[in-house]
Amino acid sequence: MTATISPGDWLEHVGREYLHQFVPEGGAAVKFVVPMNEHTRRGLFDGIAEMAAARRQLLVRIDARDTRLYQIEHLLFAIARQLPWADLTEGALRRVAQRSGLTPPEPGPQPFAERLARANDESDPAAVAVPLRPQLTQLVFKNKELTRDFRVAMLHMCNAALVGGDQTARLGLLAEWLSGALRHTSALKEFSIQSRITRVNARFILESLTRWITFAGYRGLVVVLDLEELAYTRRGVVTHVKYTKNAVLDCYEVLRQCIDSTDDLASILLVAVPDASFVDENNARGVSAYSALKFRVYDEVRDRHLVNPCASLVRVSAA
Amino acid sequence: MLMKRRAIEALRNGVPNRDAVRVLGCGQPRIEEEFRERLSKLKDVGSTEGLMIQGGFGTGKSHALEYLKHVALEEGFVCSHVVISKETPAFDRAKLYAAAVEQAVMPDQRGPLMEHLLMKAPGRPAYGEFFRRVNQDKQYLPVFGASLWLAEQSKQGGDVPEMLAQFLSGARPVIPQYRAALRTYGGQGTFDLTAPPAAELARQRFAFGSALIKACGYKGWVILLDEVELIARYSLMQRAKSYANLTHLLGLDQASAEQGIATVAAITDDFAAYVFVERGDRHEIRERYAHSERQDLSALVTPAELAMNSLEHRAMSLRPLDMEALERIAEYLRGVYQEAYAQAVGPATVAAKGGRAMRSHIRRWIHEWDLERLYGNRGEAEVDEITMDYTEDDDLTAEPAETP
Repeated sequence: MTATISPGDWLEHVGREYLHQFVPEGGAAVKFVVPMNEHTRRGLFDGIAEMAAARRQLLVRIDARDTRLYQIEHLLFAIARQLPWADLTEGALRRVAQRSGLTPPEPGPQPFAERLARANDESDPAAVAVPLRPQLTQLVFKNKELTRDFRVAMLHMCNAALVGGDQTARLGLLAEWLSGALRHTSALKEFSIQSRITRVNARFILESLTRWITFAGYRGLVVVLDLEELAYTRRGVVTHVKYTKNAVLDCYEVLRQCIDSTDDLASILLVAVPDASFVDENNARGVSAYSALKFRVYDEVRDRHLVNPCASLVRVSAA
Repeated sequence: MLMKRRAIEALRNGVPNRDAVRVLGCGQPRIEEEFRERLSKLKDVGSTEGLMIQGGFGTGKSHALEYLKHVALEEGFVCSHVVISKETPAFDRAKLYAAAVEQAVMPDQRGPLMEHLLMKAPGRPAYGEFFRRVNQDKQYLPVFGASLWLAEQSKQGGDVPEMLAQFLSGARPVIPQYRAALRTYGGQGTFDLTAPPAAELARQRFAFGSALIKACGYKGWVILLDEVELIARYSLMQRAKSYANLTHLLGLDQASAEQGIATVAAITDDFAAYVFVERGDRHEIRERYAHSERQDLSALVTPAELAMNSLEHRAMSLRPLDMEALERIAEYLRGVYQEAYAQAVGPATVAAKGGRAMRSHIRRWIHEWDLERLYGNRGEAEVDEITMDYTEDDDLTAEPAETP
């Protein structure tokens, strides 16, 4: 019988080892945590959410039943849909304001420039925004750590939030682009954005997004993937995403790519939570089904009694 | 400290990353030297034969490739680390190309390769010469010339750049869209556009891609093929196609050598014995396909045999590590671990057990240091080493769950 760790202990270790310093400082990691019973599973999600909230880290929870996790662009879309774009833009503008030598404003419904003017004893919002623009160009538009289309989008978001009014609709349009909801690419023309998000550029957008989150003042991103659905062979019509064996392997390939990309990602902890059958070596849908993933996460080195909470794959049980 | 932590995290997964390679180096001077010679030749002459490296499972092939990637980037090459996988089968040249573009890293930029090249290219002197060559010499299918022409005409915005980037990234060209775009810019009739034959398109992709890369000021294109041993799990025909593709990418025949890429392929060192000899690919491929009525199958035999010969006789073996080297690496890694976590840990357990892969050693050391650091006790480690499975697997060659 392979040793397990209690969810509380695992959460405590992960919080200390990853969320406290490693992720905020720019580190990235992918962990598989396997709840060995249903009760453990439910508690795990709540525990991760609490940890992230306590550390000012954005949390995104994605269920394989709702998102086609066998396509990387859909993973990105699901993350983007849950992000608070208005808050991120506000955070970015606050940072830019500070770099411009201005006092960042208090949050509020008015456009950023108006609040900035008030915070800096200026009567004219347009005038107070003047020193901001070179910094926006330097810190956002010319930030080579962000892929081109993403930094163009963020620049537009910042400019829209700066002046508010009818510009605010542009924020929504750009958020739609990021979350895959934009139906017509012609809408991108006015932003000088080259293309829709597909598997070709999704990875770069994701890398940029993780950097943007810390730029905006958060201490990183925690993505929790509920992979329980991958364990099931569904017959007939279902109302959610169906995972054939083929789709399961494609999903594992996406996860393999995420693991291999950790040196290009920043400030992110991706926690994959499969069904307990994932670690059953005879399971046709488990970790042994896809060797490339198995080589990377399987606990080929383990202790008889102690569980290494830093391991790539950890078995968790509340019993 | 962050770099060292990141390196430890990568090594914990058994996957070397940039930081892991930075802290550990490569330790394969012969391979590095051969690789640098290939790069020089590619820079000076414009073409080179590729390189094959082999080693046991988990002995450091991926690590070596990652190291070579950084050598190439530092020299000003665009570099693609392509892992043979379900999504990127070695028998599908079009998918190999798409993966190479998708995984391409530029020395000076982050972002999708073709989008960047299409923006960067016009106006550069070398690009002008390339443009003329493509459109006047008719060296490539007309759709390539039309792509460059349209890129010139539509410098920014609109649907045209997306269409072009998609095609150059590996998607099939949508000829009606191309014709409409040509009409928009007054270029109708300039190019004799028809749907290009898939095989010819795949054949020209790498050559065109590498020429475009050079025209944009980079030194060339380096392709690093990892986990090539996955070929063993394909059917015989798929294996034959894979070998032929290796010949093409490694420049093992005259035509392929001139396409202007430098490829390094990494494979397990028991592959040849198991697949060529024991399973019989050496004679099976010739027997089955040499006299096939299908020209596409009979044409596979010669390039397949070229690749098999090269893999069997010319692959460079990773330098094995003796106990002394293992102990040196263990001690060095201990230093890295201690700096990463700002905590002292005891010396690594360097097991004398023969045949254990480097990967297993490293994972064991990190595991023991983790337990020592977290629990004050190293526990009793047991190692359940994963081995390579060479049996055929239809699941690995199934089409993606949804084809876009």
